[in-house]
Amino acid sequence: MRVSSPSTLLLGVVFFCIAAALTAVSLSTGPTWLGVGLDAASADGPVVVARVDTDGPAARAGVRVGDRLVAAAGIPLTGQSLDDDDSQATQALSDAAMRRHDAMAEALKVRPVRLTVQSPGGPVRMVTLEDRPRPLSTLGVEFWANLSFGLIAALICGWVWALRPRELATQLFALTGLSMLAFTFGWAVHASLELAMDAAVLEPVLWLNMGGAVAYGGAMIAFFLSYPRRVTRLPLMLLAPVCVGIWAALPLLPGNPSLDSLGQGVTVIEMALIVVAIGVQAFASRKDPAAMAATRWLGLSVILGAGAFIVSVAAPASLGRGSLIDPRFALGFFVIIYIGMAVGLRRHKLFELDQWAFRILFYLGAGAALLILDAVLLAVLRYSPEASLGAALLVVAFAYLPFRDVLWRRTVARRTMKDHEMFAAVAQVALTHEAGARDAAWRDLLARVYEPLEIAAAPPGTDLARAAIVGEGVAMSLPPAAGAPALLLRFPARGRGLFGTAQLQLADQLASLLGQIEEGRDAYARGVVEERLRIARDLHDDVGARLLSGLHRKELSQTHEAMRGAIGDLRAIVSGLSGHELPLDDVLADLRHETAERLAAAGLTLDWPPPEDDAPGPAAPYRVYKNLTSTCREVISNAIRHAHAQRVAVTVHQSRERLDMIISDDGVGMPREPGGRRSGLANLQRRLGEIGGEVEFPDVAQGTVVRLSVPLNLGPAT
Amino acid sequence: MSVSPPATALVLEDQDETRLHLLVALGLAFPGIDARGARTLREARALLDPPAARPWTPDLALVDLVLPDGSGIDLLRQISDRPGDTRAVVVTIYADDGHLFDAIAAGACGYLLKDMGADDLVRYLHRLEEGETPLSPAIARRMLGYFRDQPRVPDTLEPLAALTPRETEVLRLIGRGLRSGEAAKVMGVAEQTVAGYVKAIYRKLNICSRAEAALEAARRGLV
Repeated sequence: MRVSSPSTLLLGVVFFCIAAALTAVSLSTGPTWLGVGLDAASADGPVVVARVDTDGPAARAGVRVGDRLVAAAGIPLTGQSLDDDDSQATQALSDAAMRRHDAMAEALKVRPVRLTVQSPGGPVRMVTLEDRPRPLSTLGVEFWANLSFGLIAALICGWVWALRPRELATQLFALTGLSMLAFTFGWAVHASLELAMDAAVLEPVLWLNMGGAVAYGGAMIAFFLSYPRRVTRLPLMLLAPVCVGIWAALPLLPGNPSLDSLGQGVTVIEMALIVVAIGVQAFASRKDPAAMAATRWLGLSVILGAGAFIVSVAAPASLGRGSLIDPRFALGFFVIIYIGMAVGLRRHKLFELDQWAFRILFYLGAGAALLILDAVLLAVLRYSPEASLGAALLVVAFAYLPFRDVLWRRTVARRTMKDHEMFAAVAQVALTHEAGARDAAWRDLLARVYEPLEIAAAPPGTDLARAAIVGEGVAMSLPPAAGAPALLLRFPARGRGLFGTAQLQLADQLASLLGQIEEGRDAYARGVVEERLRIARDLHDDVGARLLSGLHRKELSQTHEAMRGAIGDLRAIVSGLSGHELPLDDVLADLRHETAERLAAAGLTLDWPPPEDDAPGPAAPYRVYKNLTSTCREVISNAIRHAHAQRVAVTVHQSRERLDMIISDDGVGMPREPGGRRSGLANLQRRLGEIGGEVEFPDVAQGTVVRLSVPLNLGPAT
Repeated sequence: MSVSPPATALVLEDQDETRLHLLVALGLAFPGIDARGARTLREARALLDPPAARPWTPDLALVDLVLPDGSGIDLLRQISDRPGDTRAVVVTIYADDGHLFDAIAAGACGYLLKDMGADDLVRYLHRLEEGETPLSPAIARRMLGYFRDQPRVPDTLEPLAALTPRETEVLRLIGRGLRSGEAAKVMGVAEQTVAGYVKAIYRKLNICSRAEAALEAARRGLV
């Protein structure tokens, strides 16, 4: 079966309710309007005018409160004429009263309507009534109040049903609302009755009233047998129709009891059975705290609502006393039941409806507000339809939507901490250094966010990967985090609420945020350790090796040179250059500058064309930088010390993968035999070989040429 | 800027051998110079501002950056805030651009490396005294970045704080590895002119860093 969206269904419910209200109004304004309220002390006593509608037909014809209404449309009136539903001993008598009603209604249809009235102490006189349509305001408070009671109940039930249309519990719940509407509908229409109504209308109205009451009881019993736990496999949906059927068939019993008096009896029995059903439900759900909470709340709503009705109206009436409150409005107690349920939806997640139940309601509220405003503006301000719709839209946009947001935050999105506070708190937890303190900070944060009555280590067997709702929302388990073990939070919101999907999502968000920050923190800590290791390694490999070689050199000048080299390495290590990629252009610029300074100090000229442009070139790993620079330094040192050169030329060819550098001088050139200066060249070869580079010494006629070639893309460090 | 050789000098260096090394180099470079050594910031301050005598304004101050009782940067600031014309020169073992940049911003007008041999030291001191302000490519690149990224300071400071196009060009050329003489050739000016630009850049960096310090202090409500 295809089920429409909740919004569509809820819209259907709303239209149904509007149709019911319009029907009630139409039925009540249908009969000829007299503009009086009538009363009679006894069945055969006189009928007296108890109320005159201002500016009504009777008032205009001079009828006053206290006048006796002797006859209407020529039919003499006694107290009996006013009796329709009440106190008929048998269904036969009830039917007879109905026939009198019908005859009177027929007679009043003849125009003009004439009434025979007698003022106290005055003569009997005949008045003629104007034929006017009955204004809605004269339908009476009792009409409107009871109609609203039914509509409120039907809307609340319809809302819940629209969200879960296929569940037995919500269907039964909806049936109670529908019964309530039938019940109050009948009551309201009957309450608007002045003197007579067509039997074809009045009979169904009265039947709806009593039948609705009977169905209500049946539906409520069935509801409590099915929710929160289904207690029986019996077809509970049939219970209400069966009750109505039994009630309708009862007049067939010996003595022909009237439907009306039977209805009273049946509903009293049903009330007792509802209490029994609540008891059965409470027993069935005693081991399930969430179900128990729901039962308690729903049961309390029903018992309070219905109980207040019985105590203040039904019981005094059956004891022959006046009711404690105006019985005309006694059905208001039943509305308590439905409002209680609506509140319960939020507090106890009845029917497992969550935030979205309210979201849909609020959206529909916007639509309703728009329609109502539009109607009001049209009627009251006499706007043109377009202007009124526009104005209504504006008002809804500017007034209702913010209002809805406030409502939303109040009812649903209540949070104990603001988002940024929560973020700061999570960061604080993650960055707390000591493990024990971090555990405590995490628990403290959870306590602030959820306000649970209890935080304990989760029992074995808890889901360790994700947060999970436990025990229908009584508790929530959280995966291990922040050095704390898996935790179980029980009784959120200081025991006043349950865990729902919103809390679950928040828990997941908190845990994932915490995880991310911790990961970042760990990465940072790892970086610190790696950096320290790198410095230690570089100190050992570079500085240590140079100092050692300085120690073992025989000449003081060589020792000095080794130590200067060690200091140079120290600089590179301390400045953090090692281990990083450097822009090759910068490396060459530094090298050029240094070479130029050194040669200038030694009185040599340098011919090294400066780079042409600033376009950023490739980056070179530090090892390339270090080895290239030290090789180049050594070549220049040789040129200064041994070659007796006047001039040094450097050319650089650079591609993406390779750097070629040719350093030439105009000095004495290299000796051809091995040893001496040549042994220093092995050093160059070794140094560049470490980074996969090569050194060549091409034979030249004069001076020395050294060709260095270095790959720029290095494999992993060796 | 004094063209005549310095007559008095302060050497702040905590290592005894290195201090001696520097004092000797000073004596070689400027025969007859009155050079006094200090091991700590406290001693240096006591020399500059003796408790019961007139303040001493040496012509030259060689200042080590890492000292037992603090950073030489503080003394550089103090010197540049004092009246008088003391040329402060940083003596450092770590010639990395971070340390040097801070020192220049604090008012240093040059730097010496501790591992220079005595001959090199003497030559460098002479060149400093001749008005040459050293600028390595790394420092030049760093200065370029600094002036490019500098947030707008109040209008009163703007004319002093911003580099002229010529000054920017000098920094660009030296950042690419040219010596100041080569840069002068490329720009078609005299080497002295480039040296003047470099000195102006040093000064602007110092002014900017002071303005920043003042702004920061104002922002924090310290002044």
